[in-house]
Amino acid sequence: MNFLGAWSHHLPVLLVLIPLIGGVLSPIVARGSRGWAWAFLTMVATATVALELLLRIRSSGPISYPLGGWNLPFGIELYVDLLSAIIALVVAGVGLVVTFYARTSVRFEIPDDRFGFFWSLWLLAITGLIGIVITGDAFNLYVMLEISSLTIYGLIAMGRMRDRRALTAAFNYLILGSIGAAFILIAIGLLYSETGTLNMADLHRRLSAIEANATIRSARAFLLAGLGLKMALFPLHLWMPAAYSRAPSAVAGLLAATATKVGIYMAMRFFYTVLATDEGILTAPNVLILSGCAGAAIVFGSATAARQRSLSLLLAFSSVAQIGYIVLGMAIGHSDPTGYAMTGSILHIISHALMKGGLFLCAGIFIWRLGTNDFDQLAGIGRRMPWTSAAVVAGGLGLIGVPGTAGFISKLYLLRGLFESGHPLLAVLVLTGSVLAAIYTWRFVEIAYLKPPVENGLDHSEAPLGMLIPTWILIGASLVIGFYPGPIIEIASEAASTLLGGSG
Amino acid sequence: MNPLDLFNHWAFVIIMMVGLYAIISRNNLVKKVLGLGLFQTGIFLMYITLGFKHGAGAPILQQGVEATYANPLPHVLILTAIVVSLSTMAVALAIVIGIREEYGTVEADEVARLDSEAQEAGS
Repeated sequence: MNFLGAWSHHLPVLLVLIPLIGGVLSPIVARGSRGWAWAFLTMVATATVALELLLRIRSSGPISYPLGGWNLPFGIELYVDLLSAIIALVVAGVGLVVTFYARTSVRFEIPDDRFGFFWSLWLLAITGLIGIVITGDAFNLYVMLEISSLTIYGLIAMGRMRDRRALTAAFNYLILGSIGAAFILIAIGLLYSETGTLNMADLHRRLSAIEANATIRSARAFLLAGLGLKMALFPLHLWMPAAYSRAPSAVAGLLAATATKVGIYMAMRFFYTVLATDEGILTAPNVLILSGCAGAAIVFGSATAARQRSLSLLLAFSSVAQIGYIVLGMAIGHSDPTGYAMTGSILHIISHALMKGGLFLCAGIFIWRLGTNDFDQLAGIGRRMPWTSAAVVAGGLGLIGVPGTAGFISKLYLLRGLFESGHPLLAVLVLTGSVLAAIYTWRFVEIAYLKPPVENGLDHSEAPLGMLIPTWILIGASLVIGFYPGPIIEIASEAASTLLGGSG
Repeated sequence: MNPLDLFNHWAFVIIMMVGLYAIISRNNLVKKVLGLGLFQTGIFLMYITLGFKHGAGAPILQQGVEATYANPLPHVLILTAIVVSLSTMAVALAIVIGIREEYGTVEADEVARLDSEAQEAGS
């Protein structure tokens, strides 16, 4: 598959350039309804490049790309290894499917004269998310982080036409997100002052050579707090439920699937590559904080999700819990010699992106039909909108971790890792989370299938194919992974061993 | 060590904390945005201090002249961060304008009250 010819060694930079140029040009070249076609084509190109990059890295190893041909470590480097390629493909792939869905959903959620700007922000957000994942330069990571954050604040605020509270959600996220990003900026500054370099590989080399002192320890602390805010790790998740439930449906789908995952990627990159030293990847207090927060996130998130009155909020709090699983695998990953925990963590990034992305699209379909997805309006919806409701149930089974879903595979690896590394108590928490997930999924089943339908004069017919197909692509993909997990597990465990290999 | 040697470091932390306090304590959304601006300005000072050296001049190299010069890299970095901070301000103020249009107020407690009233009326 070498259709790019001489351009093929520019793949890493193309992955950022295509959505960047597409996003900047979008308000100029594509007004009105043509905007969608432009965004879709851009996303097709981006996802193709991401796929090609992943295949290439699997066959021939990590790719380093010095931007502008400047000598490393002075120039900015793009560095793509297997983990970056996986996350980039998740962002680009889910982004593509959600773009397909957004064609129908933005028409009733965004004013017509804002289409050009919406697609511009949309593509720039994806540019930033992919940029974070493939950069090899710490400061470049911060810049990309801000590109994605600023555009995402704008995208959330665009939900104001449907729900004016989207504005306050966007404002709160902006304040907390900026504080988080500022902490990351301080940490990068402290690391620079200690080592005199910003290149991640070079940082790792120089940090390994010196003993951890107060500067490095405070850099770690700032990173932990800043990244915790960005990945919405309990108790720093406060911005997230409001932002996800009030953003335009397509935006909620994109964010739930990709934004927090990229936050977790940053944590993996910093703690396992940049800050990994001979004395240990994560210091003992870091492990304690991360796994403690993750465990609390699992229980608190799932329990709160079970008490919500609307599907969007339920899904958002369930995301708090699912992020807990991923962070848990990452936190104890280094103490697990078999690599199962880390593999489970990477697998859960993929499977949660598919499941939760799909579920938020379902929530959006209900909003499109009924104007709300509060549970009291959803009574009996299972018979009227069978395909959408079935998608919610299939996604919910994945969140529980029922065999045959992608969620089962990732939780299985996570549990194996927890037992191998001697953390049976945390394993109990994971299982508690699954039981609570069963409760909140059952709530939907009860309301949608067992209650008599409400008569409110609204049209309750099934959603159009333009929304159903992308929803089922995501949910279907998670089921396919559940039944044929072989290739995904292979890739994830390869990525995990590369990440853990950094420490020796 | 003379504590005043770290004057800039103390200053940056104090500026940041003043900004953070404003974000937490102020009820007016515009003042929260100002607090955020102050918070980020503190970080600028930290980066600028990183490149500082006693008796150093601008990093302009001349043939035959030996001179110590300040590290320009942190200054270049913070130029980027200043632009980012500016954009954050712009987005934040745009959202505040939106809130003012929808709610008719920029006071956080008023907005919260209007939201809870709307929710009670709706349910």
